[in-house]
Amino acid sequence: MAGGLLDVKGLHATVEETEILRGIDLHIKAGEVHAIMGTNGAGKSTLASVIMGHPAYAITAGSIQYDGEDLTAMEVHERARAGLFMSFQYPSSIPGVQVGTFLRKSVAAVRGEAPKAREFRKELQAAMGVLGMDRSFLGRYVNDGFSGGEKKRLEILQMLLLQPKMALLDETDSGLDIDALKAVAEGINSLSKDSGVLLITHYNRLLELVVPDRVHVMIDGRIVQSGGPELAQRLEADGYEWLTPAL
Amino acid sequence: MSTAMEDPSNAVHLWRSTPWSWMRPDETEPTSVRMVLHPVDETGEANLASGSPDLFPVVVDGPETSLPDVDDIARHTLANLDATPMRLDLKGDLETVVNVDLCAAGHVAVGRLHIACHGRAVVHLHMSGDAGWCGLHLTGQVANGCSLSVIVTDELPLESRVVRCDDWRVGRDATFETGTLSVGGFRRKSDLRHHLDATGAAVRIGLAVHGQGKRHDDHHVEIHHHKGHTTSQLVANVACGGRSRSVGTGRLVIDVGADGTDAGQVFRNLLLSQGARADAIPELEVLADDVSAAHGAASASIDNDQLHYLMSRGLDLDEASAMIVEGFLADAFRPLAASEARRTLRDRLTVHLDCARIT
Repeated sequence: MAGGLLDVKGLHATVEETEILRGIDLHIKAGEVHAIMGTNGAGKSTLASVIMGHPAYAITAGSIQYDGEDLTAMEVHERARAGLFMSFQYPSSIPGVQVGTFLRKSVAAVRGEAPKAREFRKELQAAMGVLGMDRSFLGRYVNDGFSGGEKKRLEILQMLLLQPKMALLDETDSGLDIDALKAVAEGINSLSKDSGVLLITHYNRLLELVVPDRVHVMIDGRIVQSGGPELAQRLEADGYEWLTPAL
Repeated sequence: MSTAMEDPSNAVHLWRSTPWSWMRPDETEPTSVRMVLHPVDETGEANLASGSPDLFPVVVDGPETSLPDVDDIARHTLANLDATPMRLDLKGDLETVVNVDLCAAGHVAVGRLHIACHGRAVVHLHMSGDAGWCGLHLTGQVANGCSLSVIVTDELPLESRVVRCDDWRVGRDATFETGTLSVGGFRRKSDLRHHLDATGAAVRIGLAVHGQGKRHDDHHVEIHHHKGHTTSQLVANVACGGRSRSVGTGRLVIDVGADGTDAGQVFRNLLLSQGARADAIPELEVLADDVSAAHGAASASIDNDQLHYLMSRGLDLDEASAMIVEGFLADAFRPLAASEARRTLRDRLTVHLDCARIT
C-alpha cells in the first residue's frame, strides 16, 4: 500500500546493538486511527521512538515515509514541524521551565511564528477546558512533580495545541483514572478528522472511547496479526497466547 | 585595624581553589560603590544612610565565637578599603520590591552595606558599573519574627574581578532568604555566611551560576545552626560552558544542642562543554544528636531525553539546550518563597542568557 500519511516498510531497529524491531510494516492514511497492542517488551514503544527519531535507536533496515517524504532524513525538530507528534509514555520533566512558556515556545516553533498572545490564551483555555485542566498548571514546571495522570493530560494538551497531522500516542491511557481517561479520550477525538493517530495501548478500555479503524498485535518486534476493533476485544478476553503459533 | 596582613596559604580551605593572589585588588585609590535606593511603597519604611563601621561584622544576639573574624583576608581588605559603609533600615511590611542600585565605578570599587530588617521585605541589590575590581560586604540582621529576602544580581563587566562577603544573622522565628544570580565578572570569589541564632529561624538560599569563556566562579556558603528547631535549605545550580570553572563549597554546621534542626543542601553542576569544570564540595559538621541533615552533589551534561523531548516539540538543538539551561538555573531559586524575588531573578536570568546567545 502506498500514498499513506505514514508508511513503514520492513523496519528493523536496534538499541545498543540489540535488535528490537524485526521487520515492521504499517500503513496509516490521513484520518485513520490505528492501535497497536502487544505483550510487554514487544517493541511497541520502540516503534514510536524510532518514528519520532530518538537518537538511542538505530535503523538497520527498512524505510519510513511520512507524507511522501523520507522521515529518517529529518531531524527530530523537523519531524515535529512537519506535523508529527508523539505523546510519551514517560515524558521528561524539565525543572525550571514553566508549562506556559514551554507551550508558547513549542507552538511558535511548530507553526513557524509566535502566536498572538490573546489568541493563544483563548486556544489554551479551550484546550484546557476539554481536558478539565486548571490554569495553575501553566505556572508549574514541565512534568516536574506531576502525577501520572497530570503528565498524560499535559501530553494531550500539547497535541491539541500543536494539531499534528500524525499523532503517536504511547500508552497515553496508562495510570489514568476513569474521569481522566474520558478527558484524554475526548482530547484525542477532538483532533482534526484529517489527522492520523497511532495508539499504543495494553487495554481495550481506551479503544472503547477512541474507536480504531485498525488494530495490530505486536509480539517480539513484529506485527503478527491485524484486524478491526473486534481484535482488541478478543485480546482483552483471551490474552496473547492464541497468537503465539503465529510467530 | 592593621592593613598589613599576610596572604593566606593555598592550603587554607577557603582559598584552595581561588588563591587570594588572584583576587587581591590592585594598589590604587579605591572608590566607594555608589548606592541608590529607589522609592518604596507606603506600606513600610526603607531608609538608606551612612552606617557605622562597627556593623561589619555584625553581632546580634548570637554567640560571638561563631562570628567571622576580620582576620579573614577578604573582610579585612574590604574593611580597610571602604571608609563609608552604608546602612539600610527596613520597617513594616513592604509589599513591593525594595530596589537598591550598587554602582561600582573606577579601577577599584568597594562597598559595605548593612541591612536591618524589622518587618517583611524583598530587597533587590543590583550591581553595575565598569570597575575592574569590585568588593562588596553585605551584613544583615533579621529581627525576631521578621522576614527578609535579598536577591543579588549584577551586570559587571566580563573582565572584572569580584569579591563578595556576606554575614547574616537570623533571629527567633525569623526567615532570611537570599538568591544570587552570578553571571558577571571574570573572576569571582564569594564567601557567604549565615547564622541561625534562635529557635524557629529559617534560611533559604538559591544560587545560580553561569560560566562562559574562561570565567572562574568560587562560592563558599556557610550555614550555622546555633539553636535547635531551625531550618535551612541551599540549592546551588551551576551551568558551565566554554573553559569556565566553578567551585562550590557548602559548610553546614549544627552546634551542640541544636536538636530538631532540619538542614539540606544540594549542589548541581551542568557541564555544557568538554573544557568546562565544576567542583561541588558539601561539608557537614553535625554536633547535635537529633537532626536531619542532607547533602548532595551531582555533575552531568545535558540529558539526552530532555533534549529529545523538547526537540519533539519543534525546538531545534540550540533552542532546546537553551531552554534546559535556563530552566536548570532558574530552578536554583525554587527554595525562595517570595514570588517577587523569584520573578526578578528569573527575568534577569532570561535577559542575561538572551544577551549571552547574541554575543
